Amino acid sequence: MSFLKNILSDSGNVMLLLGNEAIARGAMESGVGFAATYPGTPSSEVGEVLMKVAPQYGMYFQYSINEKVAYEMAYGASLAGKRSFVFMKHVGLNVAADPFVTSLYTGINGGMVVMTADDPSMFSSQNEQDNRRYADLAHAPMIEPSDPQEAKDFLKIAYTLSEKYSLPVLFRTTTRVSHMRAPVVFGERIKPEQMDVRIKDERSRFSSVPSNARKLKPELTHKMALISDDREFNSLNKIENFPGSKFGIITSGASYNYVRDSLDSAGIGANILKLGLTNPIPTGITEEFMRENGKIIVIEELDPYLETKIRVFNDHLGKITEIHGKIDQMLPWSHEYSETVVMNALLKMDGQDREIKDEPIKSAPPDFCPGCPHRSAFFSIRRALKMAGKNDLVLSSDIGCYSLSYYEPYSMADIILDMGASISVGAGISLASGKKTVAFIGDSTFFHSGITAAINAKRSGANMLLFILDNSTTAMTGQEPTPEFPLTIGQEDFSGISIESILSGIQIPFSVVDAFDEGKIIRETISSLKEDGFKAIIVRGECALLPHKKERYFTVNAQECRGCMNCTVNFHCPAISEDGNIAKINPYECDGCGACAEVYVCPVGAIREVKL
Amino acid sequence: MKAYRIVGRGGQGVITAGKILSQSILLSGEKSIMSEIHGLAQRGGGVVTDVKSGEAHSPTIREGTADFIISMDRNEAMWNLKILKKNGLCITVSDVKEELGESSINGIKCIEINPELIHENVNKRSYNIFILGILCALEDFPEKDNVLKAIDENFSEKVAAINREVFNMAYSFAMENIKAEKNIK
Repeated sequence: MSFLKNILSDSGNVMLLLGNEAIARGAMESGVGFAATYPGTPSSEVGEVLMKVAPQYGMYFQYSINEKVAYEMAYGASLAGKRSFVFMKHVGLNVAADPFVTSLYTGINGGMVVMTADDPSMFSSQNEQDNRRYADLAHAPMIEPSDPQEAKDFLKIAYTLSEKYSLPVLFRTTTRVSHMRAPVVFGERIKPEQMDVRIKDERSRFSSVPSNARKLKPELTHKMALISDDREFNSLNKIENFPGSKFGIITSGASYNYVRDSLDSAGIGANILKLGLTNPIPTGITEEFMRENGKIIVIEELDPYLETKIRVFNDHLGKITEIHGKIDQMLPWSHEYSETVVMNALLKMDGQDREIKDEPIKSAPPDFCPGCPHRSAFFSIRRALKMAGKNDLVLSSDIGCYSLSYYEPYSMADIILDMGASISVGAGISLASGKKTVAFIGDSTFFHSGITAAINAKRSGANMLLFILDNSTTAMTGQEPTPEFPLTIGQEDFSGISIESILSGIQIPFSVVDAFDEGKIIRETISSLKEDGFKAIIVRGECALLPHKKERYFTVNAQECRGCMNCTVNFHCPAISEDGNIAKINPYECDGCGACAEVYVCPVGAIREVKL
Repeated sequence: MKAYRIVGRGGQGVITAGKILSQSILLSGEKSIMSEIHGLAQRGGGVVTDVKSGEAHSPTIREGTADFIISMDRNEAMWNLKILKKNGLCITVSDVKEELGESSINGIKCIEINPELIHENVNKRSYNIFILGILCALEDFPEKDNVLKAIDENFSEKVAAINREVFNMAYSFAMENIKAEKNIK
C-alpha cells in the first residue's frame, strides 16, 4: 500500500510515522480546512504530507511566500470559519511574530494552531532560540508533545482548546520529536467544517486599533488564568510515580524521553510530572506534585522556561519544595540534551559522585551535491573576483543550501544572518563603508524577504553586485515549489512570477547566466564589478535533487589527466576523487552536469562525456 | 531492547535503511522507534540514523550502548565505533580487496564487505539494502520475510524487485560465508 493510502487509512490502523507526518494526520483528525506554511527544517515534512493529501481530504493547503504571510492567511481562514493550521521552523516564527502576537488579542473564529519546530543543537539552523518564550511574550496557550503518537493526539486537543477560548494555540516541537519515527495508532478522520461566522458583526474585536486593543488585553490575561485551572485539558499532563522515589522531576517534550530512559539506565527511582500544557502551566496538578515531592529538578532543553515558572509558582505557594535545574547549574543551557546529559543531572540529584562522558563523534561535513548549480557558480565567481583583483570585497550571503559556500574550498561568505539579510546587510555595509559589496541570495529566499530588501537597497543607492542563485526550488528543506513557477496546490492555480519581472519592476538592471556556463559567469562578473551602483546577475541552474533523467556522465581519460587535482581540490565535487596520481569520477555519483569538463576546472580537457 | 546505529553518506539511503529496519521490526512483533535528521545539502556529508527495538523512549543512542553499527561508509563506521557496546558488532561496506575482511578495532569486531566484488548488480544506491541483508542473516532478526515486506512498501514495484534481489543475494552470501564459517553469534 502506498504512503498516501496508508496515511488516509481508517481509525485503528497503526503506522510507523515521523512526528511531522503524525502531525499531518492529526490535522486530518482535527478537521483542519486550511493550512499554510513556509518550509523550514525541522517542520518541512508536515507540508510534504499535506501537499499530497489535501485535495483528497478536502483541505486547502499552500506554500506561502514567507511565514508572516502564511500566518496571516491561516488567521484569515480562521476568521472565515475554518479550522486552520500554520506551521514553520523556530526562526520562521520571528518572521510571523508580528501577526502572531496581536492575533492573541483579537482571538479567532475557527480553531487555529501554530506549530513551531525548534532546532536545539542547530542541525539545520542559524540559532537555537527557545520558542517557548513566544508563548509568554504573546500570552499564547502552548502544547508540547513528546512523541509521534502525542503529536497527533495533542493536536486534536489543541483545536478544542483553541475554540473554547478563541485563541490561537502554539504547538511546539523540537527536532527529536518532529524527526522521531514511531508507531502511531490512528483515530477517526473528520471532515473540515465551515462555521457560521459574521466578521462584520465583530469588527471591534478584529480591528486592533488602540481603543479596542486596550479592552482586549485584560480579556486575554483573564483567559490564560482560566486555562491554567481548566480540568478539561488534564489529559495533556500526567504524574508517573515510581517506587523508592527520592526526588521529583518536572519535564516536557523530548526531555521526557531522555528522563525515562536515563532513570532506567542509572537505576534511579524518581517521580515524574510530564507537562503537555506548558503555557499556562496547569496549577492543580503542578501544585499537587510540588507538595508531594520535597526536592524537584526541572529537566528541559535550552532556556530555563519551565524552571522559571516553577520557581515563581513555588514562591507564590510559600516555598513548599526545593527546585533545581539550570539556574543552579545542574543542567546546561545550550544544545539538545541526551540520555547522558540527563543522567548526569539525575546522578547529582541522587547524591552519586560519578559523571558519564560522551566524546563527540566525527562526521564527514556536508557539501554541494554532484550536479549542484551552486558549485560551478561559486567556483566561477570566486575565480572572477580573483581575476578582477577584488578579493577584498565583503561577501554577504543568505540562508539556504548555498550557505555551505562559507566552507572551504569555496570560502564565499563573510556574513550569514537571516532570511533576506544578504541584501540589506550588504547594502548597509556598502553605504557605511563606501565600498561595493557582493551579495548572494537563493530564489526562494529572494521571494521570502529579499524583494523588500532589494527595493530598499535600490532606493538607498547601495553599491552592490547581487547574485540571485535560482535553482528553481526551495532546495534545502525538501524541494518545495517557489512562486516563480506555474503550479496548482489544492484549489490554487497560479501561472508563476518571474524574478526578471520583479527586478524590472523595481528598476534593478540585471543579466541572466547559466549556472554551468563557467566562462559566461566569469566574464559577466568581471564586467559587472567594473560598474558602480546596484546590479543583479541571475545565475540559473536546476537543483540536482529535482527529478530529472540522467542522460550522461563524465569520465577521466587516464592518459590525458596530468594530476593537477583542480577538480578535487578547488572544484570539490563528491563524485570526483584522487586515484593515485590522477582523478577518477564515480559514474553512479556523477550527475552529468559537465561543469568539471570545462577548461576552468580541467585545463587539459581530460574529462569526457559518456552518453547513457 | 536492541539499538542499531546506521551510518553512511548523504544519498546512500541511510534513512531509508532505517525505515525498512524499523518497519520490519514492527512487522516482527516488536515496538520500534527511530531518529532521523533531515535538511541541509547532505550529499557526501555524514548521515546518522538510530533505530531501537523494544521498550525505549528516546530515539537516540548513548555512547557505549549500541548493539550494531550498520554502515555504508567505512570512515563513518570507524568514527562511530564508540557508540557500540563492548560486545557490539559493526558491519560496514568497505573497499577491501577481498569480498570479505574482518578487523578488530579497540576490541570491537568489525566485518568489512566489498559488495562490488560479490555481485555486479550492487551499485552504491543499493548498499543500504545489501547491508540489511547481511545483518538479517547474521542475527535472524528482523525476520527475512518481514524485511522483504518492508522493502515492497518503501519502493515502487520496479525498484523493489531490484532491492529484493540485492537483499536475497546479501542474505545468502552472509549465510554461506560469514555465519557458517566464522560462527558469528
